[in-house]
Amino acid sequence: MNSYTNIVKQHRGILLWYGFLVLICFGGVYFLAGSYFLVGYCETGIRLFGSVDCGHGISPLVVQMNAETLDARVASLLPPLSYTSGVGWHLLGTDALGRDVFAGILYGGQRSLLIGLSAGVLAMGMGWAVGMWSIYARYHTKVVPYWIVGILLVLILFWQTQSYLFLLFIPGWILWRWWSRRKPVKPVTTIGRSWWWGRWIEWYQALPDLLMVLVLSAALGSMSWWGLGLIMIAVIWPSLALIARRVAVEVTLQPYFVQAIRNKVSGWHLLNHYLWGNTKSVFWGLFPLVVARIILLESTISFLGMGLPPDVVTIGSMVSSSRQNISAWWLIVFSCLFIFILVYPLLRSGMKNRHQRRAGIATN
Amino acid sequence: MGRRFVYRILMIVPVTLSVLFVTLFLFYKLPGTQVFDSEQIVLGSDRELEQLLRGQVNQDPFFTTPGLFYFSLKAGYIPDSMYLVPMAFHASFKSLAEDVSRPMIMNKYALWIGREIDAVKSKDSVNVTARQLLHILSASSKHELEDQIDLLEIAPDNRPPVWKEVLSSDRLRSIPPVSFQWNGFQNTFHYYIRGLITGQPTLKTISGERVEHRFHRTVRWTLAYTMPVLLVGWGVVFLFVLYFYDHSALLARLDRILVFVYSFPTFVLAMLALIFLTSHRYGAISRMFPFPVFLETGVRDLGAIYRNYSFELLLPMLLFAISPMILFYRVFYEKIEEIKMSQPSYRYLRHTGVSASDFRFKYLSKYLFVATWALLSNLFVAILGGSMIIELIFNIPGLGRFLYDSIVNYDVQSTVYLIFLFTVVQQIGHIVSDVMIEYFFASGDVKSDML
Repeated sequence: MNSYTNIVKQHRGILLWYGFLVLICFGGVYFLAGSYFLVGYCETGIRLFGSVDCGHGISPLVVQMNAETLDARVASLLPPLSYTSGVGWHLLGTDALGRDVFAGILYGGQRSLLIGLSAGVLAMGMGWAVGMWSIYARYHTKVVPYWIVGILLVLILFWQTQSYLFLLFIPGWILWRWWSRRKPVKPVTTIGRSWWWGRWIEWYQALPDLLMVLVLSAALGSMSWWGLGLIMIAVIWPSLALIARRVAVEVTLQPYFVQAIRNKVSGWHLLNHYLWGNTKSVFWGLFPLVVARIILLESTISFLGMGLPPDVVTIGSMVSSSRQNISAWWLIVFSCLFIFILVYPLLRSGMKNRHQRRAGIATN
Repeated sequence: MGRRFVYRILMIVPVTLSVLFVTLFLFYKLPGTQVFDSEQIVLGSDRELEQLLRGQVNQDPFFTTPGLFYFSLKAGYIPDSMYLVPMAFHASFKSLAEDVSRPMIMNKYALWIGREIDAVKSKDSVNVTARQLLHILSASSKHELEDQIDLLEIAPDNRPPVWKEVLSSDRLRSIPPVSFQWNGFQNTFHYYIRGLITGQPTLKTISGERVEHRFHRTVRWTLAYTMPVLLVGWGVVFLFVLYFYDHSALLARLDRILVFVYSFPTFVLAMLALIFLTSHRYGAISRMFPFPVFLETGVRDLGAIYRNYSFELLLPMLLFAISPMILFYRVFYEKIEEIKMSQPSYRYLRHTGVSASDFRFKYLSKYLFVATWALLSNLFVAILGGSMIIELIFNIPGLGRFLYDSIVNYDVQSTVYLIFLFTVVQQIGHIVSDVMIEYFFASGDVKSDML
């Protein structure tokens, strides 16, 4: 049995739970609440997955509204278990604009899951790749044509900014040349590429998150879920790279790694089998925690009004709207519960992984 | 290690300067629509719009500099006098300049904008009103500019000739792709460095108040609820974990409970607390705490905050305490469990008859201190920045809210001041944290390359 089968077995609970949530949030818009039908009859004939506006056969059972539907028949701030004739049951009530909270949670859940899972994979991948490389750079002795990379970066930056930023590369290049005139770096004592990588990651982490979120959201124009995901990747990856760096440092201090260096094991083998192979359990252990963090961050950004456009319903924007409607307790309570069922299993899973790792260390 | 330590200290300077540069660069890249969205321009009264524009241009020395850095390299179609245009409108101006592709004409246009803004600032008679100027500034193409001019309903004879020149120009084909310009010390970056280090020119908020005054005013509010909470929270958790270190089942159960609490983000907990504990709408429980109202008037020092608002601050304190206390507990708990499993000296010391208090305070506490050091950089920023979310929800006029307002309101000087401060503090925190890890983690002859 390979290690990936083991990982799937270890995470069986969380995989099943998230499969269930995906089913509810994505399938729910056809079966429970939404403006689509599963099978319907329109003027053009029988159709699958169409809009309820053109007539319907099997339509959402609870309420025929999506998260953003504004229907004149639906009153605002209806309490849970209210009924509107011709529209359906408002299981969790309606908000100040008459939008259905249950539909809002299904659609908001879709967005949270999409952003959390996709941005989680990409942020972990990027953070780990940079973190591993930042340590591996100490042992990378082949001459890399950095000047080609430098010129490419300058061209890209100039094309994008038509301005000043690439000027930073001139002192950077001079500094790099000054350092690189030394003899090849011995991997133990002197300041080398690895050190610079570490400082660069820290430098990036020192950039103000809030400012980055604002600027990137402005630069990307009308925000979409993938745009929001990109922003969160840009904000989160440095902290993951620092964790990867610290874990990789531990590996490089082990006798087997020192011996591998002495035996002149190839660079790819070092990177893939030694560094990645010995840190992937930490990677997969951290993954649920990162997804949870992204879901929380997404809802916080939406709460602050910096995420998706204000007319798009998200879990964070639902909590935010409860500020203006203190009497409507259902707006905040159900959103909170949904955040909890999204995040708690991930945190529990991450915690379990940590305990297992610790137990593994002790046994070994 | 000593040499590396010196390098790390020296690195604070370029790191801080480059973060400062990137911050300014990001502001330059911010499109004006982020602040002056069209709805605001359409809905505001003339007086409000005038104030809006004046607020933007009152940070004069930083806007009327030829460039961002000591030298600039710009696209050939952008005129040298672009710095006369308020920074919030650089994006639309650049876009219009690209559409016109005549640097000489755009140069005249920028000079005209500069004169009009001077007139708005000095309240002299102006050719166009603040509202009209805002509409003109937000145009990002010839087509949009034409539409805006038509909307202004100014008779063709009264229109400035430069408008006609811009609209009727045809694109110049032989523009150099890049133009180089030496700005010397007359650049925004240098002004900010001088402002931050020497205090000349003075950094001011968008409302005209000195930034350091505002900082001093806000920092005491943040310290009022963060400092005691962090100190007490750390102490409580530290002593609790040391006292119950051998009650594994209890610690594990508490860990599970804390993960449960941690699943709710701070803004959710704060909103729940605000609605169900302060709103007076859900029975006795909602009257437990007073509805938070914090007024800055009459608050001159930290003592005044505690005298006037100690009861109101209780709930924000409790909410702020949750996150760091959970963090401390989980880190300490993990450390204790790790020691129990991996350190042979744990059992050995117990069997040699070391007293329980010596074992706790001379052996285990050392490890917990190291874990605390590792969290130091984050703690510094947490103390200074407070929790922005809590300050926003409870309307506390603290530092986190100050930073949020500065960024959202395009207050460049305040943002730069705060980010400069946070960067330095975070860097120092990183160094202390890495020194401690290097000292305790790696053996004398092997360096971990963390520092």
